[in-house]
Amino acid sequence: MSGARVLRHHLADRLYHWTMAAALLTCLFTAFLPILGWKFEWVTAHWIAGIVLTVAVLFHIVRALFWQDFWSMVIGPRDLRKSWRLVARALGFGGPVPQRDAKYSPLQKSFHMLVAVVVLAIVATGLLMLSKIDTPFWRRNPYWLADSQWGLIYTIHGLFAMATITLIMVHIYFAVRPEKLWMTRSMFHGWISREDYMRHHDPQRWPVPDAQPAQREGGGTAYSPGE
Amino acid sequence: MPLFRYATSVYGQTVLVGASWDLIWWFVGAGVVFIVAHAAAKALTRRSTSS
Repeated sequence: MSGARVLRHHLADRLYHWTMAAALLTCLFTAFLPILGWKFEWVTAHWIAGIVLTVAVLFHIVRALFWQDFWSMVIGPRDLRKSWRLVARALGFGGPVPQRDAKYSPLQKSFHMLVAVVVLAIVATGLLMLSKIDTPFWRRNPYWLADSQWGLIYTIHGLFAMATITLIMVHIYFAVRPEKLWMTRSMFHGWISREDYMRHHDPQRWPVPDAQPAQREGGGTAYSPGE
Repeated sequence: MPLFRYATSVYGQTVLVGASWDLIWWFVGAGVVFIVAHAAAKALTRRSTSS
């Protein structure tokens, strides 16, 4: 191993990830533990964690739009082609070798899209629900919307909050799988090894300084069959 | 199993108040099923490619 490193996540993005994780887990525990029978004064911790989550998400949106490569997380034609080739080969139909990924794989982009929809729905409905509680900053106004409208807002908030349980379970499962640890570590210290970069990523689609494309036998860029 | 929670308003009308909390265990179950299925599929794939 050469020891060369490729920066995968900037400090700001890692701080965002762990802030969002802490806020979201606090929201989930303060919401669901009382429902499961553990009674405590949960409302204050819940709305404060919700505000932290909202600020973190806004920070991430602004950073993704103006400082990061927004399109690196958007599913494109090459992702669809790779997904199709992976499915075809998995089903035994053969076909061309799937290309290596850019910075993110099609499944990571799909998961991010799902999390974005779920979390944005939770944040939007949660912000509306803040009008029903007293805080040091505002007085409650429960008559702002009709009962039926509040019912819909609570339903969306609850359903999507429960869906985050599934999403977090799957996210942690993939994070601790042995073949994914090289990526998981980068969410702690920011970088991946150059070997992992060359093995898993296409330098033409995710260029970093001094990266050289790995050549596969018979020409073309290599694909990692472990993915 | 109910999907939603309802209450009776001061006007005697049935109003939606939220999703049923019984669904929590379905979402937990969905996560467990996905993890077990994926882990089993990966283990079987690894075994078939190594043999």
